[in-house]
Amino acid sequence: MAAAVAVVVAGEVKRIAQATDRVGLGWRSELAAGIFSHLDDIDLLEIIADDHFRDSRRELRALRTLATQTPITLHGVAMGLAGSEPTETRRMDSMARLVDALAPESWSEHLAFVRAGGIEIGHLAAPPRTAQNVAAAIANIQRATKIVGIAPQMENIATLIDPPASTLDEATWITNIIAGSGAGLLLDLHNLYANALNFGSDPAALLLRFPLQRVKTVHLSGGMWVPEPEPNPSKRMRLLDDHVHDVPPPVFELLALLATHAPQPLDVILERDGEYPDVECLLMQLDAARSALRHGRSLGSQMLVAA
Amino acid sequence: MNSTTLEIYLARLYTDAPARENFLADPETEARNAGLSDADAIALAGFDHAGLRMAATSYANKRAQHRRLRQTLYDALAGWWSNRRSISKKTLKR
Repeated sequence: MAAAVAVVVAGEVKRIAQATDRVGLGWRSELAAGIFSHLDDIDLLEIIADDHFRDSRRELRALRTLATQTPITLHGVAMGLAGSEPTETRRMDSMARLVDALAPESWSEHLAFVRAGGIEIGHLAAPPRTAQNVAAAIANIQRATKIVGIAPQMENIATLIDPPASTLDEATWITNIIAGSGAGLLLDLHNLYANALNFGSDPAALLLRFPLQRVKTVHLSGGMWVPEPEPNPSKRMRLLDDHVHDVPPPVFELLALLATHAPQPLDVILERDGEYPDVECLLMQLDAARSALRHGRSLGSQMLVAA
Repeated sequence: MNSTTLEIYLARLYTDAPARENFLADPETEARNAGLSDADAIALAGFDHAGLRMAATSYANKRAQHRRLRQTLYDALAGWWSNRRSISKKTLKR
């Protein structure tokens, strides 16, 4: 019996050691020159799909050329798959056409609603987390999977407001949708960090309640503290996930914790949407992500052996 | 509790400033006036007011960003089209 356990543990340790994590960047035209001159340091690129739904053949050819240089993934931002209303088929068709044209390794969307009753919110909003909403989100994701031909990875979002009228907490809501839809989880660690701090929970404890075995891709980004508006007398601050600041150290610690508990290979994407620094600054953050992954993998192996 | 109705009402609160202020003044009554069930109206009564204002501001900023981006694209297209027309006129004159 002990020998059999030792063999299983040795196999798991080997699997962790062999996990080939990749670290890359969100493609932004402002970063193009820096990306092209450092492709050897960037394992993959994530492209915002919605920016290319109306591209000409020539523009798509340019993206295909980019895909021959480095692996690409597509990231959608406006489907609203976690809304309780059925997502419009035309939005799924647009993604399907782009996936056909570019043959990315994967595609992803957000666990959010962005419109309801014909009202466009303009950004990702957290729906009330209820069993009824879980069922609707699963139906939307399964229909998107059928139309696009590949299951998406679904990303947890940051929210400045804990969605009212919720009957499920965030981790349970996400776990239920991921389990029911067959989608992978795109885990945005800064979103998780911001939600935990804004609504009074411990980020590491919250991370460990997510379905970590289903994580395929990780997003890293930064944000800023903003004060609660008057006339609130508490003068409390909330963390806004704005993608225009560097990744804070606690988020790298969460990445190491994730790598400790999730033995599968992870793709890590650094997102930056403005106030672009030198590419060297972004590359340093990619290196910090690699260090965090190595540290987490090492701890994961030690934990298995000790167990 | 009806998820669809709640999301529609939330979308309105996030995007319609007068509706939002009326709601913040008397959440339960406003939610009932908007056609929400008693259960939904009660569930919204303890709504996080600061969070609602912050989220609404954040979404308004995002919509403004999108509008600026669309305007930039429109300006670029208009410039390209006007340039193209003036080149065509010159070609015709020749």
